[in-house]
Amino acid sequence: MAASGRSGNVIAKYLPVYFVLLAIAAIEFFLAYQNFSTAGLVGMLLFLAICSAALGLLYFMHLAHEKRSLFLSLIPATIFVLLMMNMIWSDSIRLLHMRPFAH
Amino acid sequence: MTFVLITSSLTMLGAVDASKAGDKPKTLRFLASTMVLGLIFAGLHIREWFGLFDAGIKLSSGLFGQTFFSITGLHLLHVITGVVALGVVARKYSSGSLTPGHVETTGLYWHFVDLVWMFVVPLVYLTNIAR
Repeated sequence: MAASGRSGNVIAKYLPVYFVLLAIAAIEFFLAYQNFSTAGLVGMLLFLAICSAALGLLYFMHLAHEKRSLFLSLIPATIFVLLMMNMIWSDSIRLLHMRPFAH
Repeated sequence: MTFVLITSSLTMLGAVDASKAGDKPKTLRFLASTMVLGLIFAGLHIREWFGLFDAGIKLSSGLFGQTFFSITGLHLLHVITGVVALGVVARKYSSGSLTPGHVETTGLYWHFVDLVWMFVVPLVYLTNIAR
């Protein structure tokens, strides 16, 4: 768990992160109304979502203040989750070819 | 809805910080604020669902309906569970049977729900909004 601090200043401390998260959300909405290709838009939105999730993880969930060993231990876990997500890609490709269900 | 949920994460940070400092009234105030924001989010979500029902979009409305309602429904379920969990933790923390560690753990859950929403919005809402 993260180290404790004096109460009262935490809101002010994390206010910049809060405003950056709101700004990223606003940028995402702006991009959604622009004339990008679907693949390009998904790529940009996913990149921004990863950025905002990283900010939430590092500052709101205090990962930035944790021990380095805990931080490093999350890397193999993340790789494992990404590998497990490969299970669903085959379904996505079937959908792209307009054959969603096996008959 | 995004604004409400991100703001609730900020009030949750306040609750965790106040509990670590041993300030019980302030912790309870922040936890109550987080719960209210969670309920506002759930209310807005349900209102949006009824709007879609009126527009003829339902769970049975093909791939979009199934994807939209299953993903947002699961997220909404986690928000409601979080609000209930915050209520239980607040009550037990005020009676002294739970510690600041429990408040922090509940806070991690709440931030996780917020984190998932950051992916739900772009991938479920925004990729469909102008198409």
